[in-house]
Amino acid sequence: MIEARDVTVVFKRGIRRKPLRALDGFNVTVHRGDVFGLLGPNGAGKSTAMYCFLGLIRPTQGSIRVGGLEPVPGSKSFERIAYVPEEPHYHLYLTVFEALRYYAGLYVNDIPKARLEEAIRRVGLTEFRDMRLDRCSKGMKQKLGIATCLITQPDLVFLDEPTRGLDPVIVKEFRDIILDMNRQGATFVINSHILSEVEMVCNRVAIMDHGRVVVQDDLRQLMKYDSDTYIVEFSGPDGLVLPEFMTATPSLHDLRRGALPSQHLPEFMRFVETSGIKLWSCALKRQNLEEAFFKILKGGPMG
Amino acid sequence: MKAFRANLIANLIFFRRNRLAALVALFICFIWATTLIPSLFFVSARDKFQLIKMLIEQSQWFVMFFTASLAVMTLYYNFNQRCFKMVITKPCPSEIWLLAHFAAVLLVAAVLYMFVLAGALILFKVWHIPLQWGVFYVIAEGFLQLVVILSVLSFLVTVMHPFLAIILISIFNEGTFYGLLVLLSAALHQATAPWVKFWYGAANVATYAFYLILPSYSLFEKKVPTLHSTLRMGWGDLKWLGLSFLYTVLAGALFYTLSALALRRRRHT
Repeated sequence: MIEARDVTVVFKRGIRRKPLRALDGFNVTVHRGDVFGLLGPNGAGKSTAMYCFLGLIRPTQGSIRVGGLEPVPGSKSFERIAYVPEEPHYHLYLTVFEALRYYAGLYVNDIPKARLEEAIRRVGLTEFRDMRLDRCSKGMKQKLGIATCLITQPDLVFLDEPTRGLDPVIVKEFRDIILDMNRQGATFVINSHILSEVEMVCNRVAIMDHGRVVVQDDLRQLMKYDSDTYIVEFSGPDGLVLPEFMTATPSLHDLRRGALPSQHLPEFMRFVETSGIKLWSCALKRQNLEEAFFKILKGGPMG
Repeated sequence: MKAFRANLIANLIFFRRNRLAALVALFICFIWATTLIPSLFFVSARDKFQLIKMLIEQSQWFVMFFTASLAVMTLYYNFNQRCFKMVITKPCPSEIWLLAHFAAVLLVAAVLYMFVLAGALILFKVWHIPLQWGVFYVIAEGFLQLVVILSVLSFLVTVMHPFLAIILISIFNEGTFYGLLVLLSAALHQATAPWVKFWYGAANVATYAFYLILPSYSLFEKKVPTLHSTLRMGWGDLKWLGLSFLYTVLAGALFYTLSALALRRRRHT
């Protein structure tokens, strides 16, 4: 669906200042049906990459193909593409209904009014349909972007920081709509800082730093079990002295939770037998996306 | 076609809801009301014809000022608020958007010119003055001039800040360079020292080149001087209107193409 090969984007910043390399040998592949997350710290080049996918920035070097074609703004290929920007730059003088009719009207001819109303209802904007966008909250504007997607039913949707600044209820609605559209075949590229959100919706992610992709993989692969560490939960008498290879912190219901290096597992089992503590659980540690993210950014790609 | 229609409607809604445009319209109406309307009631029978002429001229100027303001405001709003990014990330080429922008402004201009024409015709009828067909010529010519001005102004706004664009179009027009040419020619005639003559000559050539390059807003106005003073039109005068039309189409197409190219090169992130 999207293929970026050795993309470099250099911004000139005047005569005296050094040019800025926003993307530096950026490579990424997004497959059809993916919910693909672009992650990275501020200044990693996520937004620049998205602008390149949309054709708003032309790469200094390298090539980008979206649906097999070079992205050209406003071209016919955008009939199957939707973009919901981070800061919605909508035409604020329009009402919710007029804006939806306008944006959807750029894709589809003569949209029945009932279809527009249905999309507005689906995103929960019915009571605000005649409110001008300059009086709408950011969440309402984001919903309008999604309503446009619902009408035009795109194959590929770009979401730039879609849930930033939104309340949890809207975030949940947003997530449900994304997953529903994905089930119907839409591919999503999501640029986000909120790792827990990405973890819930994305099936593949790319972690970027300094304008290049550090890791690109299945989310499950990134969040794989850490075979070096076990997480154990146990209960024992007060004043119990633990072996030096492990640490534990109090957990719920008088339990204690600790991390155990896997090479010390046999020793720990012997300790359990001899000390008389009650072992409640012992499982390989599974890292979440946040841990994987920091691990990758600190030490390069994971094995 | 669908994109053109959607953009046209969005632009018309912008005009309707823009408070600054409303303010400009109110200001124009105020000036119009305080200066022209009282004279309608106190004018002598002999001066009625002159008054109609003045009304047409003034109204045309007001329409030009108002529609040029609309054109600048629409473009500036779309660029400044980055709404344009929302348009070109949909299946709508920037050329179509630009065309819809022109069409919306010209539609408003055409409606206002119709009002001016209707007003003039009503006054001819009410004051029992024989209708002069030159009225149609003058209004059509004014509309064509407006098309050229709007296309140049739109191009300038796509490449620079609107404030600079307005200054540029107000100062650097063919009238300025014509005046400069006259001054330089007189200075060249008076000069005696060879190096002074050389510099005046060079400046004269450069000014003449600029004079030729700059678009003209009233290319054939001087060809029909009596028509403008008497509003009497002969069939032969239509030739100049036809040529004006041709020039407007060419100039409009040129500046539309330049604007479209500038839009493509502009960064919209």
